[in-house]
Amino acid sequence: MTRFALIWLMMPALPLWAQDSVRVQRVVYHKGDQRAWASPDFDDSDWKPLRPYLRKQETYRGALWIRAKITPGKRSDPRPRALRIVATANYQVFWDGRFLGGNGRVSAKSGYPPGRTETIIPVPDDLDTPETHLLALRISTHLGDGKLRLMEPRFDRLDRLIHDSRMALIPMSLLSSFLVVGLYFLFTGRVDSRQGALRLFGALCVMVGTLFFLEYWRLLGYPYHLHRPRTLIINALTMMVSVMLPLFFFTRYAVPGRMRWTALAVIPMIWAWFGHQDPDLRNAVFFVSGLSLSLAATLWAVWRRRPHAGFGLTGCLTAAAGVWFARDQFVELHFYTSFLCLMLLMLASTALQLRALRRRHEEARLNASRLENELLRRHLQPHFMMNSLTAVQEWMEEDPPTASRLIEALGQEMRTLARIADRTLIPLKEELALCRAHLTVMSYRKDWHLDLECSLAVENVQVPPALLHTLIENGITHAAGEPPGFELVNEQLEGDVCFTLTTLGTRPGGGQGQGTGLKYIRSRLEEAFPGRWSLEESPLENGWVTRIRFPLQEVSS
Amino acid sequence: MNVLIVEDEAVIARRIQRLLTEVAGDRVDRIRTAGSFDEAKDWLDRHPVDLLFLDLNLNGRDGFDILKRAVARSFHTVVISAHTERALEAFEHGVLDFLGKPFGPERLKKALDRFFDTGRRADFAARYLSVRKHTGLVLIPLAEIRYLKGANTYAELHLEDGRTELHAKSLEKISALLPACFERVHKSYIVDMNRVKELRAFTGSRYELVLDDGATLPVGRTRYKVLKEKMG
Repeated sequence: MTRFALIWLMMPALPLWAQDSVRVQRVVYHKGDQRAWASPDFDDSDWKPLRPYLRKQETYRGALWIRAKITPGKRSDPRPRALRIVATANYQVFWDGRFLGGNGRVSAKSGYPPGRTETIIPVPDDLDTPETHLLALRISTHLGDGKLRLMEPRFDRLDRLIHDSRMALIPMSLLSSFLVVGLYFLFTGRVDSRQGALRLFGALCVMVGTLFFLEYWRLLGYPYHLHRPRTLIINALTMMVSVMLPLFFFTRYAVPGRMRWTALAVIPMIWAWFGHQDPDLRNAVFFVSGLSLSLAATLWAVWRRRPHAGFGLTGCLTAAAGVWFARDQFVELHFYTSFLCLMLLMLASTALQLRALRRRHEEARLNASRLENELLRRHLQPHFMMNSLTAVQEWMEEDPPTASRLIEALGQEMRTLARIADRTLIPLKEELALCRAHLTVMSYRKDWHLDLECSLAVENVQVPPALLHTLIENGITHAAGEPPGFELVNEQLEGDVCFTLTTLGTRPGGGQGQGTGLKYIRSRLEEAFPGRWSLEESPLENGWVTRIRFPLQEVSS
Repeated sequence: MNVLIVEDEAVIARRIQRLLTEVAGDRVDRIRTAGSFDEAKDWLDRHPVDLLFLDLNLNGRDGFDILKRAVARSFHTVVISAHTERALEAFEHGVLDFLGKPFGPERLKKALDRFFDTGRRADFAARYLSVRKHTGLVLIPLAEIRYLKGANTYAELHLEDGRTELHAKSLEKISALLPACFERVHKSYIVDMNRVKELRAFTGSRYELVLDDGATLPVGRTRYKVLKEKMG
């Protein structure tokens, strides 16, 4: 729980501000360009209301005037105030006929560079009186899609307006962090082929970082003709993030049928994309669908006790609470904070998962090298090596050709062992060759006739290295004074292969599962087929039957 | 000499037998090979054996328990094993020799020489003597033994606390396993020289040793000079 508390402390304060009660009334427009339209005395009764015109979104290239009545009301603070104008146009601002400032060159003719979407224009103290004033905007649009977008001007304390646009730097600067984290997970994501969630998270980080950057760029202002492309990119990114968010949770918590569920979220998104023009509405639909599905996924994960599911659920609940409290203003105010919380919780959960994965990998790697060592050492250890050498010595003196054959078989066995020891699976053919080499060595050592009788239904199959070899070795070691006999049978059972090795002529107890040989076999099976194998042993009157079953994997040619 | 070879690798058992016949010649009366401990035990219970060649790892079983039992018997034990890292441990328990595999006739001859030449001592001295009692095997540290006394084919071990234990080996055989501080002072006595307080000479070439607890032991005439020199 301390981890949760830390993350909550890191959550920045919500940017909620109280605004002075400024009223803006009778906003009208007229196409054309006359300096007299700036004057408060001009009669604009025949001008048309601006709102329907903006809603129509007609393409217009040229000059246009907007006039409005603004009542600043009584000032609560002596600090100077300013107007924040957001528009996709070049413009000049007049207050009671007096020129206050502007943004780019306004002209009926095209050819001038674009102004920025956002400007803060200070209002001199002598003009900022409580009564109603005339606000006139001289506008020209030539670049971009030619559609005028104008946000209601904000009249507020200058320091607040500046502070707000500075605040945009926080989410924007997060782009670099998101890129670092995202690229890290994208490139190192393939720790385990089954863990697609790591890469999905990497991709999400990159997209969310970009989304934050583009979204908050608005507060700093950008050349107005870039507005349309930026909006489209934001729409597309929001949609992708909203699809990948539930997909991430489905993958992360191994929810069955993740693609089918994710498709559910895409249906309302397609409807929003093709059915609606308003980019904010689209974003809201995208985000709400993605978030609802993510909530469902994390709830399921918590119910099924998936590891770290609590992180995901808390993150989704935070984001959902952000949506609930902010409603239509969601993107403006809470998008950044609630999404940042969600991402941080996802990062924590993903990092924990990565740590668990790394640990498991490390263990598996150690285990693999331990098994490799064990197999090789078993044949370099004195009992095998020195006894073989002594037998070679004896044959050399008694019957040199036999000594030569023994050395050959010994060489063959050692060579095969060295080749297969570090592998997880080897073809059955190679395993049988190893067994036969060992039987030859032991035949010459014990002066017995040893053989492996095979009756194989499945020949093209992979087995863990030295699986049968270890059983045969055990059988010879525990032989009751007579040469043991070995019979190997295999068959296909559904998707599995089942090996049955019968060892005849061993002492009772010789096949008991406690021996190091059987421990080795179990470890090898677990390494190759985690949890999907079985090994049974049963005693016979004068021997043992060992049954091993594991998934059938053919040898790829 | 009756020899028993305990070895589960037929070819190696054959090798020991062959080399033994080669090296010892007609000094060997009978050689028997056993491929398992049970077979060996059966044979030992019914036949006299003078020398046992023992493999320490038979059919995947650790042979040290067998070794401890073997060294308590009247015969000498020579270990032939791949596990040379356990040689010292085997010597401490009182084996006459330890042959690491692989081995040749020269090494086997050395072991046999040690067996036939009773004056020779093992490469490493024993630290314990195993004594077979009806309750089982008892391991007696040499440090607790004050002296050994020959009693027919047995040896009496006289201990610090006054107890006496009977070992199945003859004094001659045991002397080959003991460290240098154990000295043959008489045909029937071997003494830990660290416990000798005094060497006394009497008229009529009669000599005796006084131990630190006051006990006196007879000293052989031939041994007196040697002892006198050693004790300064």
